[in-house]
Amino acid sequence: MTLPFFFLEFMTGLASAASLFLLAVGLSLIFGALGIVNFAHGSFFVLGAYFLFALTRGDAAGFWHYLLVALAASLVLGAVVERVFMRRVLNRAEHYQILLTYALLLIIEDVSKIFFGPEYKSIGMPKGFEMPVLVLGIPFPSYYLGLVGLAAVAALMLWLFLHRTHYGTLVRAVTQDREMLEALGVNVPLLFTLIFALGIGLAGFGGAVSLPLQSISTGVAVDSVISAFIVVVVGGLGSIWGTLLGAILIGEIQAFGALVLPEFSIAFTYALMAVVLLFRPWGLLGRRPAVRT
Amino acid sequence: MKVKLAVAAVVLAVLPWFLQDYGLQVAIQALVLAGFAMAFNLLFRNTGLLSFGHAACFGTGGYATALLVSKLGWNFAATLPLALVAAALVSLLIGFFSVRLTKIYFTMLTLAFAQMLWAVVHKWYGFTGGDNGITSLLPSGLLGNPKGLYYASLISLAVVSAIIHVVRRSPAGYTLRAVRDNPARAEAIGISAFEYMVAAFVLSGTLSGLAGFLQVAWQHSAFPDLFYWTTSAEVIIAVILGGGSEFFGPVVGAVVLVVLEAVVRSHTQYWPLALGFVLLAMVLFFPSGVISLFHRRQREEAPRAAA
Amino acid sequence: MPLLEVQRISKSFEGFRALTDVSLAVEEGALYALMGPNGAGKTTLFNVITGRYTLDSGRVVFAGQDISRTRTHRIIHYGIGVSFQRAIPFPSMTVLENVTLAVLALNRKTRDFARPLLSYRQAAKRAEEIIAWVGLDHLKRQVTAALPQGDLKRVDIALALASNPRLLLLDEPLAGLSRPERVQMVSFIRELLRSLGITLLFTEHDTEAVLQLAERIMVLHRGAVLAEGTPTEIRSHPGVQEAFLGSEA
Repeated sequence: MTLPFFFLEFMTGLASAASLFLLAVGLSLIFGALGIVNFAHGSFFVLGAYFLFALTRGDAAGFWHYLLVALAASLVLGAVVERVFMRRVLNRAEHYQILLTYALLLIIEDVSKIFFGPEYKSIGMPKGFEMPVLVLGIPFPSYYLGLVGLAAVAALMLWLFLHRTHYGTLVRAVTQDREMLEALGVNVPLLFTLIFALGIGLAGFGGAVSLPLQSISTGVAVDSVISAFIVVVVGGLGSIWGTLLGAILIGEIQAFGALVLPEFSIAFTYALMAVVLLFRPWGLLGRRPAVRT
Repeated sequence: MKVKLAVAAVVLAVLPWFLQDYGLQVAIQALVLAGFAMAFNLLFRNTGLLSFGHAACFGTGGYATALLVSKLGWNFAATLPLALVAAALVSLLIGFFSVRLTKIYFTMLTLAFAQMLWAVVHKWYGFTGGDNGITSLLPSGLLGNPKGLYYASLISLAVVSAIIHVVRRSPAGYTLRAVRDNPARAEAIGISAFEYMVAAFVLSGTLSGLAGFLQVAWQHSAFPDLFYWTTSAEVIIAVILGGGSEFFGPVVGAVVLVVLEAVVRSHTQYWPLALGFVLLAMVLFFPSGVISLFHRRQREEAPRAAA
Repeated sequence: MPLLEVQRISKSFEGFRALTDVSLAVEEGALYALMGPNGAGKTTLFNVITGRYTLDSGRVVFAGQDISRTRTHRIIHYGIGVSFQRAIPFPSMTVLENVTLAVLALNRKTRDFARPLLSYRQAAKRAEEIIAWVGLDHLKRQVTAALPQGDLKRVDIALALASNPRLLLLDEPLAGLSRPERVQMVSFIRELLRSLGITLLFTEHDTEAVLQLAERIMVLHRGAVLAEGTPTEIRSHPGVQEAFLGSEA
């Protein structure tokens, strides 16, 4: 394996990582703040891609124009879902939350089939990224680099939001102590709606920008939510940098695993998840302990 | 309660003579899922542990049978003991490591283990046939004809229910619930939570393997989706839909789920959509499960009767 | 030889020193109290003694046996009965089932999975005996989830008594009770343990109750021993007065 080849494989892994990050960071936020494990998270990821496909009618020329529309649609959808459904299970036993989000997964799956059709949808490279670039002498899809850049910007913006704005501080605070915030007069239900909308928005956005990378169908939702779980568990539930680290680890394991032992590269990612849960259940960069005393 | 049970037993015993081919198949499916759901609820109701990995035990039971029949030419029924042992071993492995974690982390680890197993089975074309699965498994004798399989599943459900009933009433059963209710208090009176939870997991997983065996006998095949997380989700749905806090809740849930699917599928392909709505309705309007709907009616009728 | 000896226990949590060099000795038959405000280290010490936490240094000796490393679920077999803070009985079971289970746990019969719980006649009878001691005979078939606080505490004590203890360890046994209920509970505990000849070590931060119930008191402050002695001695101890008694409502 030559150096250029190795490097390109690494970059491919980073592109997957970028997609995984955008998929998973919303899940992490939602769990951190609301305590909800969102089994429908992959469904919203796929919906974002469907929105974009439908808006552009599969033509990559309109990619950038409609991307923000797809993002906005996801944000709104997230807000609506939280208001109408999530709110009612916030304080109930986890298995109700799981069933509710699973119900959403099922509904979105069939509604997508009805509206968009069951076939795989794909899109070409977006405007400006149609030509490959030469990396160490080898052609490499330029959009992969673009995607990595997009994810990096998103991560940075998210960090800035959480650590440098008033609302971001509230979001971080509600992750720690919801009751305290309520006592201080903060409108926590509205905050929850915003957080959930943000999480779903990120997922939808992630799905949309990932469309040139992988074609989608409704079945992707079921696989991707598990990938999101792996990333978040490995990185640490509720930690942005943890999600980024987790995404990179999983992305690279999948990229290199496919070379070394293609049959079991997926099994490796689950094994990593299990190992983390066994030795450091709160994730590589997470905080809360989870083991029984 | 005893009267209702006796009536149900009689109905179930004679049901096959009143059902057409298709109806019988649906009935068998319902019984198999009911057994799986009862096995799952043994763990969930008595320890509070929500496992998302029971598909691993279910699938192990099924694949053990499939492999022995397809590769070694064994008789279907003869594979049962080994299928149970295999399921027990897998449960022991998963349970031993998972039980020491709490709540959502426990759930995630069971999910991870089950998915690992799925990933391996799904890709190991050489041994398990990969995603082509193992097909053309034709049981002979009792398990080979639908009525026989029906009774086998019914008896299996009865046995599983009896085991659960006996264990629940025993000191071990109470110990499990003590650990569920208040782990610190349980430790203080001398109970080591860990070993009981693992034991419960193993029993639950082994009985899930029994369901897997029956599933393969009915399907005449084994596919990796037996191990996939949506299978774990299905059994959880069956339990909660029926009502996890009643003894036969899981059975009710399984029957409702299977029958509903059969009915909906005969009219439309959009069963997931229908199920999604049913689950939504349940979470929002009758969270204690279908069984609680019967209790409500009873309570409403009682005052009238008294008057 | 004292029944329970705590020798120079220290315990830290990630840099925070919860206990520093704490020693105490409880004589057989004594009613010994561990006092101090919240955060003083009472519950930490309690959890170290009962094996919930591992100690960093020091020893715990019971009736001459070193139980420093003994884990919680084995403690009862040494003859120690334990009740933790806010550790209410098992709500899904009746009083009788609760106590019978505890008796079976002592006899190592909780692994039995074939016969029903209450078919263990001997254990059930012993449970009824204990339930009578705590005066709850009329409630034995009640599910504990439905009981009021005061009765719950009695069931809790019954659970601890089921271990046939020589020493009873209670962590904040009066928590959650109203003033009159506390007075009742104090005299109830004192008479019960006197009549059974059981030694008591308990933690509490209600000073009045402690001064009434205990024969010997140790005051902890910020993880270290502030004072130790009889109620009278403690009452007039300058350091203690300054720290707590003056500010007690």
